[in-house]
Amino acid sequence: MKHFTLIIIALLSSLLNGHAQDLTGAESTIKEKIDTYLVELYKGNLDVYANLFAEDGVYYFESNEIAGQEAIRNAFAELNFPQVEYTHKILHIRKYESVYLVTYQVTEADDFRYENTEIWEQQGGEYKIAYAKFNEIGRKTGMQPPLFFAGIVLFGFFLFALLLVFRKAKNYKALKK
Amino acid sequence: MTHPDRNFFVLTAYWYIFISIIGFGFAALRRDYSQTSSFLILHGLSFTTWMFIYLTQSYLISYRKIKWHMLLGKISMLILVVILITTYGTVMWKMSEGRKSFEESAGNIVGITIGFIVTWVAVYFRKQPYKHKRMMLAAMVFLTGAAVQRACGFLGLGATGIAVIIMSIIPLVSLIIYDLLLFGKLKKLGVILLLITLAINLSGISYLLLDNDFGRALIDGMMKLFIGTN
Repeated sequence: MKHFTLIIIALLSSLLNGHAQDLTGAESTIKEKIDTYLVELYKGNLDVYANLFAEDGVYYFESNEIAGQEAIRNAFAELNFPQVEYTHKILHIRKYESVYLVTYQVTEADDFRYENTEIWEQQGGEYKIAYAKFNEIGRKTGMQPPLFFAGIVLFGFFLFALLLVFRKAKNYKALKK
Repeated sequence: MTHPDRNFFVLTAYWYIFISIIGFGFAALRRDYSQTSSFLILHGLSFTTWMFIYLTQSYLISYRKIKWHMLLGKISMLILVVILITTYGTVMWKMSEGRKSFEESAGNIVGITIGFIVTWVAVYFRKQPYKHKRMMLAAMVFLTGAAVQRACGFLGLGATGIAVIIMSIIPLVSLIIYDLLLFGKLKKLGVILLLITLAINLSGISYLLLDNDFGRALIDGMMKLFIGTN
């Protein structure tokens, strides 16, 4: 429940504070770790990410809750991670009480996008991930403004046509009486 | 006055084509086909054919071309089998590439299988037009599940979640309203189809069915069959 509340705060904050923020030393360290492990992840070195989790860290991936660093490492070993070009954007790094909440978005070469929310905490002088949640966003919209407008117009046309059919159905019933 | 069924079912066919174009059309135009599995290409071709057959069938029946409707119906059943097989192949290929999670794959496999079964149930009731039309409409909800997810993703509504469910059930909700206006009372069939669709979407039934030893063995077997490895 605590994690859930923190994630809600992180998500809301990321929406409101999507702009660049001044990072403290700890936040910069975490950002560097994220930059580094993403590079390794997309080279196929999945262990680098798994090793960043605390011993009792939890990774929540599409309704699968994987608890413990060892289990996360095993889960990653089974994953055939795509080695593609990507870009990423840190949406939010902020300290809440004793933990750091991080949200970042990754866009892969074919426009596939996902967002990771992570809770980092200091353990024995090192920053570790206590909790991470993968959230698929889908593909970056292919709907450029003219197409999006066309889509809205078509949707409006569909609704209008549906209303006409409804009216016809009602009239048809009245005629049958 | 012509029967409003003529307009309603043609309109739903356009809805499914509209959703499929948003979901897959733009990506299909931009895709590098030299890097694409033949399963995916065949799946795209067969599914596009199916969408236009559904539209043509709606028109044929609205113009009372029953013989043509029956003939095309038989051909479309073959295409449906191709869709089923190529969907399994595509899902396995994407899974092997790390592009689909187990849960997503399970959802696709169960969704397309339910769509296939409901279509056959609709065919079973082919001599009862009222049931046949409504069951075909419900089958399309399952067959176009992935298109709806993709369309919601493209529109920025999220590829999972409540927006996908709402978008999926628009035709069935429309059907219930339509039947209510046409018959002057709530018709059971539309409501039952909507409830079944919601139950399947909300219960995570795909995960319940396949997240076990049987499901994993099944997916391993499918992986071996379609990709040659697990």
